[in-house]
Amino acid sequence: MTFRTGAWLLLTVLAPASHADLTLTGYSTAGPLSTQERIWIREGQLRRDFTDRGRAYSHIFDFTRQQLALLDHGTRRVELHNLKTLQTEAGTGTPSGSLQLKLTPTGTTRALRHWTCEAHQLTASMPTRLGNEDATFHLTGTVWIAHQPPEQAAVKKWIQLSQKKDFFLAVPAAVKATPAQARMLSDLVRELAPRGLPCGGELDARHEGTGPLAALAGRIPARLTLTLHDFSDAPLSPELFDVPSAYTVRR
Amino acid sequence: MLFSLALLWTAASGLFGMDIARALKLNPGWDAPGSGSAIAAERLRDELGRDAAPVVVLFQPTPHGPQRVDDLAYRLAVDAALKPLYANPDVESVHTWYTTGNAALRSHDGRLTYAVVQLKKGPDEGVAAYRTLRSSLVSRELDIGLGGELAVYVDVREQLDHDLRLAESVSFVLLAVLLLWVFRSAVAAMLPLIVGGVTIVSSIAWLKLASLGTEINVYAPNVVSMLGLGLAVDYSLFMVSRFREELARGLPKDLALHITLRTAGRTILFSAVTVAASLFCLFLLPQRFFHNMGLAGGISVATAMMTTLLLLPALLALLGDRVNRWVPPFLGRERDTSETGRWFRFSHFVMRHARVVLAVSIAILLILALPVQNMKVGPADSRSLPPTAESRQVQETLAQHFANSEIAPVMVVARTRTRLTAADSLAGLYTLSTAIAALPTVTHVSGLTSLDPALTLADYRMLFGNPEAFPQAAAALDEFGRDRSTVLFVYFTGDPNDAAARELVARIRALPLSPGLEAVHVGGYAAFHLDYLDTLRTHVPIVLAAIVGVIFVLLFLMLGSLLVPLKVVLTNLLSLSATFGALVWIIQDGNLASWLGFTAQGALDGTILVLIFASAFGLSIDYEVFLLSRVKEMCDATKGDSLKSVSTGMQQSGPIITNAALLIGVVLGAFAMGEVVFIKAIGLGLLLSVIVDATLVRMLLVPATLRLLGRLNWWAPKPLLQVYQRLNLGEIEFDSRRKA
Repeated sequence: MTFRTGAWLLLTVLAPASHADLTLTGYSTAGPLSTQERIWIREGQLRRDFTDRGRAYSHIFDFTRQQLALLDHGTRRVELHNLKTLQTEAGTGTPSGSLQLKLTPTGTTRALRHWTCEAHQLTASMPTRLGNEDATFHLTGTVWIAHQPPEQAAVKKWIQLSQKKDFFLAVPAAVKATPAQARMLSDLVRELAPRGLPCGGELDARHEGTGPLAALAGRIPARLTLTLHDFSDAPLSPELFDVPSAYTVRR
Repeated sequence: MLFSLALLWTAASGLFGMDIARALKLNPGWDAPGSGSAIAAERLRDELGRDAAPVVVLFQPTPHGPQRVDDLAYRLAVDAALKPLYANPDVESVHTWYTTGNAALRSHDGRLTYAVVQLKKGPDEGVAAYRTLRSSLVSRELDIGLGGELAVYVDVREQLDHDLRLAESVSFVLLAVLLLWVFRSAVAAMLPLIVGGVTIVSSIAWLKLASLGTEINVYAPNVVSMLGLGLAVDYSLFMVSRFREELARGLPKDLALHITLRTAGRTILFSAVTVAASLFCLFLLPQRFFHNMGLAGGISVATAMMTTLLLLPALLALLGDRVNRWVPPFLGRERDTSETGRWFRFSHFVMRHARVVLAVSIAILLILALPVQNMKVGPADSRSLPPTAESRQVQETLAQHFANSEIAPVMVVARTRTRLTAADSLAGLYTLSTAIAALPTVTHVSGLTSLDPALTLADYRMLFGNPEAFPQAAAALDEFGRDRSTVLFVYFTGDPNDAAARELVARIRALPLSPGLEAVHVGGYAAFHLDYLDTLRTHVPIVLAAIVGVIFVLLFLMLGSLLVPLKVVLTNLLSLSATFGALVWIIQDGNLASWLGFTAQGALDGTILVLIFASAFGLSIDYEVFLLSRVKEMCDATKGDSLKSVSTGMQQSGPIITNAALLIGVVLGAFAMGEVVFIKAIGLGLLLSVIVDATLVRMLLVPATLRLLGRLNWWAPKPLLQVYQRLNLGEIEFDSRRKA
């Protein structure tokens, strides 16, 4: 899992629900790096805007058409990928085994405008491979969820799509570098989406295994955080999810 | 005919040169080719694709905005301000306290923060991108200021443009008034201004033409304006004065012009060759900056000479006696033109007390030169700009409120013998980075093998041996390496301009080369300055020797004497020492700073010293040449009567030299009014040099030494004398009265 991918998937993991439009804005960090996060969800589409080392990028997922568009606004280029193909690639050569998820409310709450966000202790594990070693990837920490706020109805269609077997939410870089984690985070989305809307989270990622690579990975800290500071259910323009016509397309 | 051609030439030059700014390079060309910092910069650009200029975007709270960097509202305001940058194709990267967690980007008191924006340089060194960036940054909640090297460059450039326009306007007005006072004729007074204007326009055109074949920096037009205008006015003064003098003797116009060209014209030619030769010695320094200055100086001198020798005679021929017209009634009084006037009497006084005068004048010069003992040579920094300049304010805020600047790390470019991730390569890089991290003042090192202080060499071997398992490895390779080259960023405490930063560079360079590494080059701001100062240290003595040698030979060829050129060179060195002493007292130590409107620099920029030496050494010769040519002429006429020859020479040249010094002083003074200390110091240095030469040297030292040396003045060994006579380059004084 790349730092960036982890951070944004953390956000989408926590971004579920019903039928119209939703906008989420906040910040995510992965290790020392941090980025603004903007996510728009409309029907079966999701767009994420973020910056990486000072360059602006967008990821546009169309779950109905199973298409992913990666936009580099600096170079004005766009890469188009098929989500089904990515899902197949992620499943090839990774250990079998499903997500083990445990979500326990801690009783702590905090407010985000009119939402009441409840803290949950999250423990998630999934078998993975590090080089030639078998290992387990763990995510542990706190996630903040607002259960059934009025805006949840806005992403109803999206949540329905996330429950399908072919639902896959990952970018090619993550599929290539850490396919098991890419699968894991898609599964996490599937599990968490119906529970509510996200307010934030602080998670530690680590590997466990007996081999030297796992031992090294265990010594390299990876902390992912998300802080959401605003949301809106205002209607979104369909053009927001279109690939800009002036961009060079690479398939 | 010639006049019409000159008009056409000027119009064409004006049209051709009007967009010169586009042809000039912002990069001054201070890199010493082949130096460690220059090689590092090349490798960073060519091998690692790093050719960006860092810009500091400083955020400060306003009374009504968020006050704490860690407040969400503060972050939202920063992000909103930076938002236009993320889709800006000129922006390579933006790093903030919020995106990196780097504590260096947050002020001690938590109220200020800055973003580091890397801008693509492009052919204009990033100026256009910087200006776009500047105009796109707006915030209602926070004050935004821009700083960093590129910001300083742009501010300097904009200030120089402003200063140049102001200096030219002020010069022309003051020159017009002074010339009217000197010539007591509006027609005569206009001539040097016309020659000055044509010289500037033509020089700029020549400069643009030269820029088609070589890179020329943005400072060159200032040099062209300053030297071109000053010299053109001086040369015109010599020429017009001589022409009017000959007319006053009752000679017809054509003969008066002929004599003027044979005498004053020859002196001007010699003077121009001397100044140009002195400036061309700058080509002995390796940096393009000095080549540019030598070229710009040479072009302005040559153009001033050509304009004076071609256009001015045409104008004088057209005007004839009308050159004396339009006499303002309030300036009608005739000057003292008798052969035994006050200059004659003054020189008699000096020569009667030659030993005392010599001792006193040398003592005064030595006292003026005393501060040279404390001279410190260092790099110019943002203090060179006026206190109101945004980039300077940002620099001062960074120094005051932040732990250490993140924008000027030492950059170590290493090339490995095999691929970067091979075991030997990683061992070499690891040894290098740990050795650097252990050096004094280093706060941290950032590079392939410096990702985490807890990781060992074995860890890095495993990390980079399995990049597919460790995204950190792939990200680090993408960030720091290409093929066999990689860069390490070395962050340190203190000011990058300080000697301590240069000491750190020297220490890094002194580290042994690890077996896995093929080459290591240290670059960055501090390394550049270290190399620059080292280059000056090794090359400046050669340049100074060349200038002194060239001037000595030229003076011999003109005067046919060995002792006089030697005396001229020695007095010039003494006079320049006094000038440098005054510069140390003023620019370095800050005396008269409030009066002259600048901040004490704490050190003198080596560039300024070299430029002043090369320009002033040539310029100083002017007055002595003019005086000595008259003295020599009288010496020949009186068969060696030193008393009479010196007194008459002083009387004949005195008013003209005084006026010339006054006029060029006005031009240099106007440039010294500029707000950029670099140009102010050059203008001031040259002005001081002219004042010292026109007063102490010309009025006291020269007549006293000429008197004391007597006939020895004009001595030369026979073989050399034969060379002198065969070449016949000395001034030929036309005996106009006899001809008439």
